[in-house]
Amino acid sequence: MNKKNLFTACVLCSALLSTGAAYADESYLSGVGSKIGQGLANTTTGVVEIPKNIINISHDQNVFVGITWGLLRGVIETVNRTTVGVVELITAPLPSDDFITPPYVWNRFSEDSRYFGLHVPGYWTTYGPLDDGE
Amino acid sequence: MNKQCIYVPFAVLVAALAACSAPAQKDIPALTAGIDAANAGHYRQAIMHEEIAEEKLEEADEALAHWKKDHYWNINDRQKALDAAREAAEHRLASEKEMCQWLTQVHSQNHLKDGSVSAQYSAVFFADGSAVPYKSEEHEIAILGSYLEAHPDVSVNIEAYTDTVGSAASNQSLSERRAATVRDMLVKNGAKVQQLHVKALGKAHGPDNTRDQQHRIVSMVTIHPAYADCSDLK
Repeated sequence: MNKKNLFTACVLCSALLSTGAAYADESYLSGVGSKIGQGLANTTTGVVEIPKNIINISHDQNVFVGITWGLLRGVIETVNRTTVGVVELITAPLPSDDFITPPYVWNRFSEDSRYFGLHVPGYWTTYGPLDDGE
Repeated sequence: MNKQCIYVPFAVLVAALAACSAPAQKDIPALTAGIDAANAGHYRQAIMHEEIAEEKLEEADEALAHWKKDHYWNINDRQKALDAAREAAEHRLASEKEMCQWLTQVHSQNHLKDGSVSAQYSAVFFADGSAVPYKSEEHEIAILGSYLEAHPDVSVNIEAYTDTVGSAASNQSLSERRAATVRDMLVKNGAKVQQLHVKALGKAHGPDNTRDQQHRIVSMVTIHPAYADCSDLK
């Protein structure tokens, strides 16, 4: 084994060992399975961020803002969620906390999506018509 | 076409239209009065306050759960949640006050004219000619004794009777012994002697030479001059 392969193996092993706590509540395999599922879902359903943003911003402000700013924001969020989905698929073998919350686009529809705890500016601040928080 | 084929459906249609056009039987004042009657009174008010308190508490609990889980981070419900918690507490207190007023109404017969409260107990029963109780509600005696211990301002009138069989002198003596028995039971359970006003009344009222268990009892009447319903709520 050359030095480069040895280094890669060490990095992978240390990543697996050091982040094991992220899957503490479930087995390693089920953790990988759920991350793959999440990645697949986010890659394919990221586009739902567009109607989500339009609906929630229209409800929070007005239809005009919803169609303009909501659409723009929805497109940005679609790109974000789809990209995160791809990253989740690639990194599925590596245990980690969720990269995105809510984990699926249909969860908590009134909650604006966040990535690693960060969010896109210009979010809405009230519950939307499709989810009152219960 | 047969004329009957036209007239019959036409008649049915006219009847249906007539039925539709008949005014609905509404009696708004009567219904309003009924609803007002159902909502009147301290008990109903207590229930209504309690229902609102539950709703508000649910709102506050929900917001707290969201905050703890970091869900709905973008929803600005801080003030709403804090208001809900405060209103829940206010309505709960209002409910307790209404419930207290209802309880006061319910046992209003226990309140004497001077504002003190009184209650009567008959918890000790005697056999014919005996000063040893054949049956006593030990639990009630214990409660009364500890109540007297905790409230030194409360006094008890202990009134002992006999039935109407036997001489007046022997019945007087028997009622004195019965009263002393009950006094000792209360003292044993925490009451002080100075709180107990013993009255041996001899024969009970009624026809002579009649054996009656209802007369072979010792009754206890408590007087609590400083009692106030739900004093903590006022």
